[in-house]
This record gives sequence, C-alpha cells and structure tokens, in this order.
Amino acid sequence: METFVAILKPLLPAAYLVCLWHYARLFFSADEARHTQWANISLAFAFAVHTGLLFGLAAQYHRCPLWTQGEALLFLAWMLAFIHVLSEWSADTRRLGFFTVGPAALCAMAALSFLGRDLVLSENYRSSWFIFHILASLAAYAAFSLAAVLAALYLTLHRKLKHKTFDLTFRKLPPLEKLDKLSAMWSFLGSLLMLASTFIGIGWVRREGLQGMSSREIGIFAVLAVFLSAAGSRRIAGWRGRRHAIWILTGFVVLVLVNLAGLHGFRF
Amino acid sequence: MEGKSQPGIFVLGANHLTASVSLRDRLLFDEAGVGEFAEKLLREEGVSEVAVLSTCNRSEVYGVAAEPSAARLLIEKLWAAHRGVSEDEIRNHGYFHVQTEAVRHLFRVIGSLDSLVLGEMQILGQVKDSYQRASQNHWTDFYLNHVFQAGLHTGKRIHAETAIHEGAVSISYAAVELARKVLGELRGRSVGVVGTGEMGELAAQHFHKAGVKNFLFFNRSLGSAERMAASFGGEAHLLTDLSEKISRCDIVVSATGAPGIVISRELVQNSLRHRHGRPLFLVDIAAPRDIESEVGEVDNTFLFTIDDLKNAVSGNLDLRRQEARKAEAIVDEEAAKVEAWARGLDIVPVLRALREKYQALAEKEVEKWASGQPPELRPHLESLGRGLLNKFLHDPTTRLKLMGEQGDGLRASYYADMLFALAQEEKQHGA
Repeated sequence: METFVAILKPLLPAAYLVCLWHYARLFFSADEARHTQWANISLAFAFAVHTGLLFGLAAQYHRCPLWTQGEALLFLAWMLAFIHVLSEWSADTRRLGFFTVGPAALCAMAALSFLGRDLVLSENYRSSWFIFHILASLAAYAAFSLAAVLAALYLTLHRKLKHKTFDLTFRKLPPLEKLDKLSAMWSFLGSLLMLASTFIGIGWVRREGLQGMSSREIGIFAVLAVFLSAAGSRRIAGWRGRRHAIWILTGFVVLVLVNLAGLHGFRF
Repeated sequence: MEGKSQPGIFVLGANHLTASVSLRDRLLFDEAGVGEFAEKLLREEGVSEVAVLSTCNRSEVYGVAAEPSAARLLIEKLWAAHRGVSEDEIRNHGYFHVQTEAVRHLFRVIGSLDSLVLGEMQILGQVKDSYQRASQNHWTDFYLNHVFQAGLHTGKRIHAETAIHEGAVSISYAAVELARKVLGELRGRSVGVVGTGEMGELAAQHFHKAGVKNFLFFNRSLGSAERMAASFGGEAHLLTDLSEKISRCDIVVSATGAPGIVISRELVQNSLRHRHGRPLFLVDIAAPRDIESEVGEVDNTFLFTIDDLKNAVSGNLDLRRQEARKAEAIVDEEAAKVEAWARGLDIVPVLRALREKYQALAEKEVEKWASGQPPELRPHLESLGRGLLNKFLHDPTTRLKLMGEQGDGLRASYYADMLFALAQEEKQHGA
C-alpha cells in the first residue's frame, strides 16, 4: 500500500495542474469546445487519483485520514473537487471550473507538503461521532468556499455590467441571477452542514466526557452567524445580489482567519 | 487504362455582395420552382448532379458536370428563362467557381463567412434543407453527397470550435442578450414596454421570441398599447400607471418620444421596495433619454442606453471578425480533404478493375475446389476466398488510393497496369 500511496502522491498535483490548465483554456479562450472534453477527462482523472490516495492512506493507516493538518487539507481538497463535480452536474458550471477546481488544487498541493507520518490516536478520536463531526465540518468549509468563489464572480460580473465592460470574461460568466442563487444555495447548505457538525461535536463531547471550549470555537460560531444571517437577511429583507455577495465573502474571510490558527481542540 | 477525365463540381450564383436586392429577388427560386429547374437541368446533357440553394441573400446552383464551363452556359440560359431575367444579368452580377474554389465557396457559405451578417448560423440549416431536398429527389449522387456532407461537417466544426456565432449583432437583440446576462432564462419574466412606437414594438418582438409571454405596455393613449397587448400577450396601461405597475416588471424597455424624463431614480427606488431585492433590468432606447442616468446607480438595477447597446454590438462584431480567421483555417483544412478525395477518384476505375479481376479469379478457384465436395463446405470455401481476396488486395488498394489522393493518380494507374496486368486483362475481355 505504501508503494501505491507513493505513486499517487506526486501524481496528484500533476493531475490537478493539467486539469486546471484545461479549465483555464475553457474560460479564457474563445474556442471552448475543444477544451470541454479534456477538462472533463482531466477532472475525472484528478478526482480518481485523489480518491485513490485517500483510500490508500486509509488502508495504510487503518483509520480515516482526517486527523493531521495535511490529512484534513487533503480531505477538504477532495470535498472541494466533489462539490465542483456536483455543481457542474446540477447547474452546468463547467465554465467556472478554473475558479472552483482551483482551490481544490491549491489545498491538495498544500496538503501534500503537510502529509507526514502516522499518528497514534487515542480511543476518543476513533469514535464515529468524531469522524462525522470532522466530515461535516470539512463539507461545510468546501460549500462555503464554493459560495465565496461564486460571490466573487458575482461581484466581478456586477462590476462589468455597471461599467459596461463587454469583454471575454463578461461573455464567459453565467448570468448574474444564476451566480447569486448558486452562491446563496451553497452558503445555506454550508450553514446546515456546519450546524450539523456542531451538534454532532456536542454529542461527541458529552459521550466522551470531555470539557472546555477553545477561543477558536467562538470563531467558528461567528462564521456560522455570518452565513446564517446572510441567508436570513436574503429571505426576510430581500438582501440579494451585491449585498449578499459581500456578506458571503465576509463570512469566508472570517472562516479563513479562524482556521489560520489551526483546528480547535478539547482537553481530555 | 486511359479513362475519361473525372467530372468536376461547380457553383453558379449571385449573392448580397454581387447583386442588388431587386435582382436577388428576381433570381430567387420558390419551393416548386427549384424542383422544376433541377429536373429540367438534369435532363440536359452534361450535368449529372444538382443542388439549389436559394435564400433572401443568395441564389446558387451547385452541380457536377464533365465540362463545367459548358454547364455554366446551359444553367445561365435555363435560369434566365425560368425566372425571367437576362443571361447577361446573371453573368455580370454573379460568380462561377469550379473544383476546389467551388468547394471552398460552399464551405464558406455554410460557415457563415460569406453571409450578410458574419456568423449568423441560420445558413447552416438552410443549406441542410437544400441538400436534403436535392438528395431526397435524387438530384445529387456520390460527388455532391460527399461535398455537401463534408460541408455540413465543416459548418458543425466552425460552430463548435469558434465563437463566430456568439454575441448579438443587432441593437434589439443585444438588449435581449444583456437581459439574459442579468436575469438568466427570460421565460416567465415580465417585460414592461414604455412607449408603443416602432422601437418599442421591435423590442417586444425580440423579447417575445426569447420566450417572454408576460408584457405590460404603457402608452399615453391606450389604443396602440391594447393593439400590442393583443398581438404579444399581456396588459395595456396608461403611462400614468407606470409608477404603480413598474414593480411588477423584471425588464423595462423605454422608447417614448417624450421630451423629458419618464422614469426617475425615485420611481425606481420606490418600485424596488416591492421587489424584495429582485434585480431590475432597464433599457433606454429613446432619444432624448427617458430614464434618468442616476437610475443605474441604484442597487440591483442595471440600466443600459442605446449607446451601451451599440458598444456591445460593436464588441461582438470585432470578436466575430477575429473568430472568422479561425473559421477560414477550418474551411481550408476541410476543403483540402475534399480536394484529396476528388483527386483519389481518378484511381477509382483502376481499383474497380483490380478488384473485379481478382474476385473473378477467387470465384473460379472456389468453384474448382467446391465441385465434388459436400454442399455444406461451399459457404466455407466462399468465405475463405473472400477473406483472402480482401487481405491480398488491402495493401495495394490503400497505396494506390493514397497515391491518387496525393495527385499521383496517373503514376498509380501505370504501376497497377504493370504489376497486375490490368490493361492486358481488359484487352482479353474486349476480344
């Protein structure tokens, strides 16, 4: 299994770079038909390598590869790629692949530099409650990231419309309403996943008899508050479009800042 | 093996670049006229295949003839008689291309490189229809079939590999395209048309074509608003009701002849309170302006004037011109393939003779071995004979075909004669 993992490790960044190149051509060049097929093939290949690597690590360590920073990043990258596939399939956002697969590629490359040796885990961390807590959190982070990318693209197109700049980027971006709705949908989904993760986490803490609350946890609650209030203000006060996009981006910046310091923990 | 020279493809026609509108109208073939003309032409000596393309911007006769220049005179005569124009008019205001140039011309037409509006893709469907009609009526045979199918393939490649068809190139359609850029799908949206003059009606037509079914027409008098509501669907209102009803519109097109502002910033801001943050798309195509320019600064409101639409159109035309270069390269590539195919036709009689000779030999041998054997063995022997024939002839056939495609058909025929004694065989058959 070590050989399998050793082969896939260098293959993963190469696969993502090829994939990104095709998605870049798809967005930044006029003849997109030629690159559509290659973008699909290269994404399928990168996704397969990524999935294979996760399974390889799981088989090698006999546990879910979620515990170290590198592993969490690798899983987050997989989640980002996965929700891009979902979005491409459900909302035909293939043209935006460069922007949505891009974060996945970056995370995957960063993850590989952090991937280290196996850990000795205490029994508390082997609990399925904890695994679901982490999985839901990472899925929420991925959904928030996609929402933020879409919000940034919304603001780009909004600016181009207001300034009457009808360039290639303008032509390639999907309609403003679509970007707005997709961004809102992914941020709401992220909020639900984050809520679910919080409840699962609380359940796990109680089961394991843990205690304490770190300051980073408060940061996570702040992220949740920003995203939930974005969804609420949109629904109640009709804060859509530019305001909503700015709100989503604010939430994402808070999320990044909170996580820059590392993941929160508990005292045993 | 000295065969006759291969027939050649030609096109005789007139289009928007060579003939005036009135002459184009007179040259136009109607549905019944095309059939009559093609049948008459095919009855004449020398023309073996015909397809007629007739649209408002061009009328063209594609054909295959042993002597294209002779066919030209014949077609000019028949066309002139058929449509009541003089042969001189066709000659002086038309064009005539043969062989590769005719193929390139057809491919450029299909690729919309020769269209009045560069990149309009309607022509692809028109050529397809013309070809289907010709093919169904057996006016075309293997030559034109191959050329038209290659042309339709070229059209599809141009459509898929270039952006020549992208972006609106008319002011009214640019408004529809921009509305789509803001709101996405227009089906189910409400369009308010302020001013029911010619411009308002044209805009309504374009939005109606884009799938909009719900219109609100505003005018000083109800008469013309009601007429437009009846033809496009929707409601007619007096201009004074605008402030009350504008919040129901997702798109507002203003084209009144009013001397002052009709839609103010305040009016739009008030309407947005009832829209729950849904975006409002406004187009001002009036001169002087109907919509206050500050309206564009309101959140979730997108205002475009006639100058903005002109800029969008001009940008799209520039893009189409850039993409036309890529499309021309595709045309050249595909025309070269057809040229190679046509050159390869010189070798077809040789290949046929080669195959006939060895097929006869194989059948003779099978007959010899099958006599006196149980009948169930015969299919196996026949199958063996066919298999060996195909395998033995595969390489020589491929090489000879390739030489033909590379323009070396004469040398290929000579080699085939020398190696397989085809001429001798022919003489024996002749004796």
